[in-house]
Amino acid sequence: MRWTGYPIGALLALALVTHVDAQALDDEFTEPTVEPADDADAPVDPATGSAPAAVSDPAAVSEDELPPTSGPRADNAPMAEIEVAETDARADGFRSGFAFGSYGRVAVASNLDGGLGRDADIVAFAPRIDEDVYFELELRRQDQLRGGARSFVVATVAFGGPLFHLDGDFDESIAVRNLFAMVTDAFTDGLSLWAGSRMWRGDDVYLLNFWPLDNLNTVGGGLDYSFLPGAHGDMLELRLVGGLARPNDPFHRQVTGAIPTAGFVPDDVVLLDRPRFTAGLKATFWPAGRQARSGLKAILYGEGHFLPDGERELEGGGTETLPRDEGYVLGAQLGGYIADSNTFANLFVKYASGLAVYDPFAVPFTTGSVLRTSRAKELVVALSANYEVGAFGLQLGAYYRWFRDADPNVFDRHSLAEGAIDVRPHVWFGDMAGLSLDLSYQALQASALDETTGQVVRGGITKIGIIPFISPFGRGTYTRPHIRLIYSLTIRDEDAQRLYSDDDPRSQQALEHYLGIGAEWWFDSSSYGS
Amino acid sequence: MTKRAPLFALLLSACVGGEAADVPIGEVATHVDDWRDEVMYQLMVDRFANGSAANDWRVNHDDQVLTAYKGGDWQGVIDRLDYLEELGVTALWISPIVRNVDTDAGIDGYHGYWAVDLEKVNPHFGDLATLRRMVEECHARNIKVVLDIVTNHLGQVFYYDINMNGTPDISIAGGYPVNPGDPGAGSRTPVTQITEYDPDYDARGVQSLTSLGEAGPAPIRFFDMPEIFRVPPQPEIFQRREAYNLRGRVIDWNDREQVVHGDFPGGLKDIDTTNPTVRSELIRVYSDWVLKLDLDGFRIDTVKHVEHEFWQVFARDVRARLAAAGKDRFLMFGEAFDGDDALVGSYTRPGELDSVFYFPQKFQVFDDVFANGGATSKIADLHAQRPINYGTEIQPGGIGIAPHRALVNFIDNHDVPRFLWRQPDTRALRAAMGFLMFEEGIPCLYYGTEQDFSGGNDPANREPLWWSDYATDGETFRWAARLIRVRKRYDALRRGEMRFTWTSDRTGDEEDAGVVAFERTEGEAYALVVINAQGNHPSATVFEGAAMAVGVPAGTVLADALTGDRFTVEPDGTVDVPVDAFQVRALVREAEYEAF
Repeated sequence: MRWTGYPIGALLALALVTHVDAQALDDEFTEPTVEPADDADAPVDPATGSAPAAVSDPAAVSEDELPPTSGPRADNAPMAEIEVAETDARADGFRSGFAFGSYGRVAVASNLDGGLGRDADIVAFAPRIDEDVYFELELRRQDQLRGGARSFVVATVAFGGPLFHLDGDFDESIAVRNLFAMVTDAFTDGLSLWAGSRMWRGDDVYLLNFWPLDNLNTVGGGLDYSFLPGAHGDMLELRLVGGLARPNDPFHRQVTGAIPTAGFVPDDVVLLDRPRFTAGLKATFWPAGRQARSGLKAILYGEGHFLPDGERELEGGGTETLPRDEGYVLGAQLGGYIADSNTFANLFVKYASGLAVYDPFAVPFTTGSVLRTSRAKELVVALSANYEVGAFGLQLGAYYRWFRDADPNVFDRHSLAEGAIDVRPHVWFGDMAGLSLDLSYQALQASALDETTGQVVRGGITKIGIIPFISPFGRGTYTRPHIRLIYSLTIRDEDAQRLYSDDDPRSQQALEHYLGIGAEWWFDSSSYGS
Repeated sequence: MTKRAPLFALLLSACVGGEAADVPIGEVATHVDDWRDEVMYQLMVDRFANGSAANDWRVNHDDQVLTAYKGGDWQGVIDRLDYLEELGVTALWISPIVRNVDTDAGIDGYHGYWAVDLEKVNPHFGDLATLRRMVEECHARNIKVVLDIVTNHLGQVFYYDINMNGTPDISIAGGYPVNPGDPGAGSRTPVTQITEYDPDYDARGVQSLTSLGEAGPAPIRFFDMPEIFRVPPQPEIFQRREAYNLRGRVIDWNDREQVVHGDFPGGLKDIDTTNPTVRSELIRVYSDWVLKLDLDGFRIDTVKHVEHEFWQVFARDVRARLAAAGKDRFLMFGEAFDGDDALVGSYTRPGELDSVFYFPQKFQVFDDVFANGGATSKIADLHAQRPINYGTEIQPGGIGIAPHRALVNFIDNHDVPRFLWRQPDTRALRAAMGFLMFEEGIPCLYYGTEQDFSGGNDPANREPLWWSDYATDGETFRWAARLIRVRKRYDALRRGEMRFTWTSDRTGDEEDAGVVAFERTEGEAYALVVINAQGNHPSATVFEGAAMAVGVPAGTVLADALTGDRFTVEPDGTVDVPVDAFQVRALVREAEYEAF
């Protein structure tokens, strides 16, 4: 069975395990995501909660319509024909077998001064016009099982630049981003279970390469449950995730040598072992249902972060107790979309406290004896929007972030407010070529004074970019791949120049150029969404 | 907010930069009326209080290690202002604030005397806003702030490439037989050590040396070790050869040429302060700090290692720049670590400094008399030299007091062993503190003295103050606080002219052994201070029937502000004041008496 109505999230787990009254709703299958992603990179259609899966049809950006019936997934990603269940092709186009997908971007640029072009940003989530090389290769085995269930085994390998052909170093940076198995509709319709290592994400602000709400990288497991539509077609989906992360740094792990029990080689003794447990819960509500051609979406989101205590040895001798720590995130998102015109707007608000302010892979402190994060706070407000009509389109991304770090200092360069706004209008010339302008402004201000001027530490950067591009799969803001020529002019104000070390040429440069060529693609990739 | 910051700037400013934007950088005022009213407290920032763990980089928490950063910072000073207020001090002398070479030869630059960038703050102690806020908080409590600065040298920012091989070397050579094979030749060539970090003084300038002999002035090479802030120094003039004297380390401290032009031991590179650009840059950067932070004074390090002409220009130009900004009576006192009273006093000549750190008194009075039981007549003898050796004219644009009446008195400091290391009897320390607080001049208490710290030579005398738990109920703390209250209460004890009424050459069982008595008079204000500087027996202001004559009329009743004891001036104008071993009395007219 699937529940109708909207019980509070806390009752969800109980409900899921006590009610297994099967009720097939094959035409409402929740597709495992076919979304492009990277460590902080993949574009997602913020109106719908998932990325456009390499679609050429602008209307196909809604996850409700996945998988697309046209575009690279159908054309470029043929699957092995391995039948498991009695059917291998459902009404939604699902096909059992192996699938391959990819997200990627690659670019090379000159600074028009004899050097390579590079990003020129001062804020955490900056306009992505001059971003670095990154790509993912995803191999997936997916099968239609008897009884309507489906299984998925997903492996995604990610690569970070620079590439061998640029630096001659035959050793790229590689990470396994996804490695999990998932089953959908196994015990009851609408229920998905997974375990493994997974990127777990929601909607992004594409122009800023930024996931304001859910953006977890964890080894653990989770479940999703979609309730039956309400009387007005309204729908509720709940997602729960939990997992561990234990970075290999002295804040989380310390290994020391000990006199061996036998022989001569010291034994390794793990002195400090504190994995962080992170749990996330997300409730998404579609007042008009997920299939509506236009509608709204509302999301409530929360995270809990928990770090056990531990003790580590200090370099100078003695030990130090690292106390237990915790934190939380509360967030909300409100979005509206019109699928036919590929138009949407999403507004995000997130508040984080304590440990949750810091990424699970980060060490909150590099110095000192204040070892709890309870003072840390973060507030994020973000906006993402897209509008398309005829040969014109307009993308918008913006965010504001207020961040206070964990130490008690009132004045601190790490305590800051920052933000960025990026507007990218497009115009299409025919169906395969277009031109984008990218206009952005980013600024930060820290709770500190510049020692030279005595003024508040701040800075602002304006960027003006021009991007002519080719889009083989046709029009659409989120149609990929794109093959691009990119020019961006960075204009630093004097304060921004002072943010750099005196020895850094950027401390003297008001203008910086970036002229390059690049490409971006995604198709049938990145199974992190719902 | 600057005009350049559009759009987001207003939002950003309202939400996070507000605190920093409220810091009144650049606003200055005159906070001092008469520097003799102040009681100074010298603190080493790294050792006073740790208020922020965020800057605890390279901190060594081992109590046995005192050559490393210990974690103190400017936030710690802010956090402990209640402690200082309870003690009663009214001016803080803080250790240097500028960025230092972080570590050198296994010792850290926690003290602040190894400057590498004169325009940046030392991040171990906090940031500019915190420092400015510290000054602001001090001023809110009527506490002034004096900054320790160095103009004589920078840290070890370069080495002399004597063998011109491009790397810093230390080599040992010699010890070879003069005539190998000659059984009668017993002598050997001298063994010499040549260090390119800190070579010996050479009046010609450090010379390069090859196997064939000397090869002209040695090149200098700046280090490039950003991980320890050991990089070419700032301002930019200090990256040029002409900014330095380049003569190597002082080896003969009696040779004035060496003292002025030689490197300070430890490879601290001597600045050529005769270079006009160097001079103007030093004036600029240090007066900039005053204007940014609203400082009230400079304690100037190693003044005897810099030529007098520099001080004439530096003092004049700094005063002028500050006065133009609205800051007057800015105190500049120098440190000449020397017992030569005339030499120390020479830096208060007309046009030079307002005052000096009174080292001759430290040696001849606090060490010889209070710590070692010497004759108190030495005190008067030294005092008699003040108008001779020290400036008697008010410095133009200075603090408004003639230097000989505004010397900065101290018992001990960070460069000498603490008093209790020399003399463990805390009664002797308290007697010395009585003299410090009631004599003429500006008293300066070294942090930790109030906590009976007893460390020996550097670095043992630089104990973290948190070892004391900032206790305010200790006998010495309460004694210091009481002395300061008495000093504040009576004008005569702060501003009065000092005239000795009794000292003694006797140091044994004699009835006046150890007694030092002096009057302080300022107009009608009057105080009589009587101290027994020895701890063997009670003494009095009499000897073989002769009593102490005082400057108040017969019949005047004097009350001891510290005990309430009364003494009446005899018809012959004398008064007999007994003092127990190491006792301090501060007598005021009975009508002005207040119990403390």
